[in-house]
Amino acid sequence: MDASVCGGCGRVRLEAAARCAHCGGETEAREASGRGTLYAFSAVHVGPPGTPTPYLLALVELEEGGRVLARLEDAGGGEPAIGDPVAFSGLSEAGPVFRKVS
Amino acid sequence: MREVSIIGIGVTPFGAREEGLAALGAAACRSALADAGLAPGRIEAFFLGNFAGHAFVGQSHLAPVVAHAAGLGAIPCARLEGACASGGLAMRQGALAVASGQADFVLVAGAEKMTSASSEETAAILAAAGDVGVEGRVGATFPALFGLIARRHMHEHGTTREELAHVAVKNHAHGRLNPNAHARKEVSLAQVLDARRVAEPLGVFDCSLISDGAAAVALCPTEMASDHRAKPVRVLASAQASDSPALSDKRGITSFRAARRAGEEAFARAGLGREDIDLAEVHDCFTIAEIVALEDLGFFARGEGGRGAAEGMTRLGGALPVNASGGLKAKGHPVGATGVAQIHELALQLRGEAGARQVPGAETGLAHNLGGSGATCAVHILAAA
Repeated sequence: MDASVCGGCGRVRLEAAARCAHCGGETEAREASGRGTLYAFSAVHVGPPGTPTPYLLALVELEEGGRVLARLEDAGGGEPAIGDPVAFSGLSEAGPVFRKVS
Repeated sequence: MREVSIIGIGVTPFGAREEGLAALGAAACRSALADAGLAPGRIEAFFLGNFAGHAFVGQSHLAPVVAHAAGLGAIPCARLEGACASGGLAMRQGALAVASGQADFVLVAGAEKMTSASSEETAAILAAAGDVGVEGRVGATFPALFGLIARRHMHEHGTTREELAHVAVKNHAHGRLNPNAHARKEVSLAQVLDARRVAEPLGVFDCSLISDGAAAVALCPTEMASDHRAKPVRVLASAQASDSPALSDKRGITSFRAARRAGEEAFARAGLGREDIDLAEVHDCFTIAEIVALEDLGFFARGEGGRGAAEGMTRLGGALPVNASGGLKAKGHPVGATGVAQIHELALQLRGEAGARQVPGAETGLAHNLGGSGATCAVHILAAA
């Protein structure tokens, strides 16, 4: 998984970026493990125009530090919980997608 | 710097209104001028809060449009945009213009016309108050962002679904007493808990209303305030702060740095403590947002804000009535008008003219107006003369 880490504020983004969107600092491209934990989530029933619902929105805390807003694959098997381990499963039209791992 | 007072207030009824955006804004302006007993020609500057007139009804450059409709003349005027805090920013610029000596008589208004757009269009327009580059494509609607915040608050602090629902029950009970409120009916705890889900754990009754409406206040230096018709209300403090717009860039998501900082500054400037405040209007765009606001402002310890409504402390008759107007939840949330409408409510209360929802003997009030998911916050503290 491509990521960029800011040398100024340390924020991690799941994309290549020459400058940090937060502080303007220079970033360094890095390979991220794509592993993290679920920091928060919400099952969304009313979405933007043309977006199929429901979907799971997740804030994922990456192993390398920093957080990313992403979709969480609905793997069945009950409600997700904060702290659940998750892994990056690919980029979709709706941005990064993560899935629960055991 | 000169001390500033509010010498006139005006508001339109909130809800689905027939009038257009400029007509709503002008109506609130005329009402505030009449309340102050000021001719439009006395106003020297005009500041207007409006979030997205261009997106909702195709009108940008709104300040001169409303100023012209209200008959204000060739004075300097400007529109302030800080998402849902647009009104609070307009109030702050108006107060600064008077305090600095730039103008003696200033009019501040906020206006938004939302109900002519479809609900899907509205959701997309509101989503532009987030960090579109980061949050745009994942489906992070505002209810979804506050759903994440609510879930995390429950996880960190043990806040319950019922505590969230009590905020809605309380604010609807207050809104029933406000003749200008969008929703004037009470809701039960069961109704809130069983309502259609929007972004879990939030249901439809956890969300504020999509409304049309406008509010306005007239300002002048305190030393000139007693010459006017209405009882003056003093502006003790005006503070504003900001934070990163994207939720993923924040250190924590259960507290907003901008609100903490603006609150601290406002209390310091006013020379007051939390215990000195008689009532507060806080930005309850979602039930969880009222709980977070009360904690950020220091009225409740971190994690304890859920007790406010659940234990009756923030109800009318409680130790600190919060959102006596009904709040964004029941009074309605015409985005650009909200911050000015909060000031209107405090002034009405501090004049002792709030009728059935009057907080007896109220002498001090605080308004907390939040933009986006905490990227902008304006806090004002007012006092009876």
